[in-house]
Amino acid sequence: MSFDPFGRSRDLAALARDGYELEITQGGHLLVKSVPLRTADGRVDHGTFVTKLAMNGDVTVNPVQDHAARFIGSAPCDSSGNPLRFVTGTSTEQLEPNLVVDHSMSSKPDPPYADYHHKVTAYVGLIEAQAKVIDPNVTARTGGPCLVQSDDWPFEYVDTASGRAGIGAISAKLSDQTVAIVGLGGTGSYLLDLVAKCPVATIHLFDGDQFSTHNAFRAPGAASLEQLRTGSFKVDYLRSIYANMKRNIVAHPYDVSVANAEELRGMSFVFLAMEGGAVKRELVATLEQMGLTFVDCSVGVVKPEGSDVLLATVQVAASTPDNRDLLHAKVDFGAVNDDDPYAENIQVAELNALNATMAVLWWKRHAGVYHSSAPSHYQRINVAFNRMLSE
Amino acid sequence: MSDEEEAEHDQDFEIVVNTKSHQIRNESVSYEQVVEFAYPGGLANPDFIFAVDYEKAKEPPHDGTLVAGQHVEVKRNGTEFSVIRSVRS
Repeated sequence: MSFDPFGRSRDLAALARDGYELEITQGGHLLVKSVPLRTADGRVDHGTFVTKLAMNGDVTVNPVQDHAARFIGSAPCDSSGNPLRFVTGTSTEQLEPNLVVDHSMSSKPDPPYADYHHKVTAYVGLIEAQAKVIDPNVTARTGGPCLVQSDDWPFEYVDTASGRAGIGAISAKLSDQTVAIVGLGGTGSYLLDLVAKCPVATIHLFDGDQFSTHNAFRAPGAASLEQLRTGSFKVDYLRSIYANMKRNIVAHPYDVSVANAEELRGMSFVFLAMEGGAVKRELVATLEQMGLTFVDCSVGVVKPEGSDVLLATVQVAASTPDNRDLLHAKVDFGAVNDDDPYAENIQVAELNALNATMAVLWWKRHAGVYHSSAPSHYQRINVAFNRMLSE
Repeated sequence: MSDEEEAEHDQDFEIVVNTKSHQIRNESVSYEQVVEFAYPGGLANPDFIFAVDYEKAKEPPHDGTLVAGQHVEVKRNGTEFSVIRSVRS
């Protein structure tokens, strides 16, 4: 993520924190939407405030040199029905292919606007003050989504949650990463649920299976009957959902084995959430040769014969160039037995979610997002004994 | 009950492996023994990895994990084991 204006410009971050509905356009304008105004005939209407955005990369250039602004919608008026004093002209003007404005504005303070927070709050404050006379509850601070129109921005809207908590710079540690999730079953789909909310550059999904009813009971969210009936590949179904917020999710509707493992070369990180004994062992060896860092996820569920309870363990085993051995001591490359309770459609989404969470925590510790006092390549939770082991 | 039978009875220990009770003769229980209870014949497959945990063992620490070749001393009854292969995703 090379372009992160809300993460790197304090004035834009402050506006987002205030709850303004912002959009940064491809052509370098800042839009403030849903601004309440008073119309000439004394009603409340809403419009969009527009200002050019002077930026050096993704950092605003302050103080603001250009005091002028534009507006989209009805002309903002005062209590006598005349346009506000700083509305200097009304004529349609195309600023960008998808940006047409209706009015020009000019309100020049002395000294100049210190930053874009100052400029926006000054203009918008004057416009909405007139609307508040009619309805004191109206506000431009709607808390609505903030958008960035840039090919370099990894989300459909801005992660104001990280900005709010002041952790944007921490999550940015993941921003150059290209991540693969191999296997989109229960654990893999929860992995996507978590990774899609991180500012990684690209997420590759690999799985050759179709999304069917039993998958719906082990995946995050709630698939509709119509979605199940379409018989989509898991990767396409999941991509279609997570593309609502995350850009650059690439769906590969086939399994990964040594035959096509070359597609994983150069990945920043690989989550292995596939079953498959010998195939997985060969794949692990190939990933090691490529020098990749990866984590294997697995769940064990046992229903003792004649018993009506489940025993379960959930584990992650990581492999890094400086420690390849531990994974081999911990990962079961034996055949998967299809008459075990997991195959009998027992709903254990919580185990998949836990496994995905453990794997994402390992990845984020490795990337330096979370502090790690004692680096470890293996964690396992025994559900029956309520214990977590670490090596 | 003869003395011999009583002496034999005194040597029996009851452990629980994956919720099932098993009688054993010795206080010392091995990884291999409990895996055989849970997955009969499973030790023959070198690809299988069994996670073996125990609780309520005789000596502190009462909780722990066994790997191949290791033993733990159990109580006369109530020491519990779980033996699980993790192969699902």
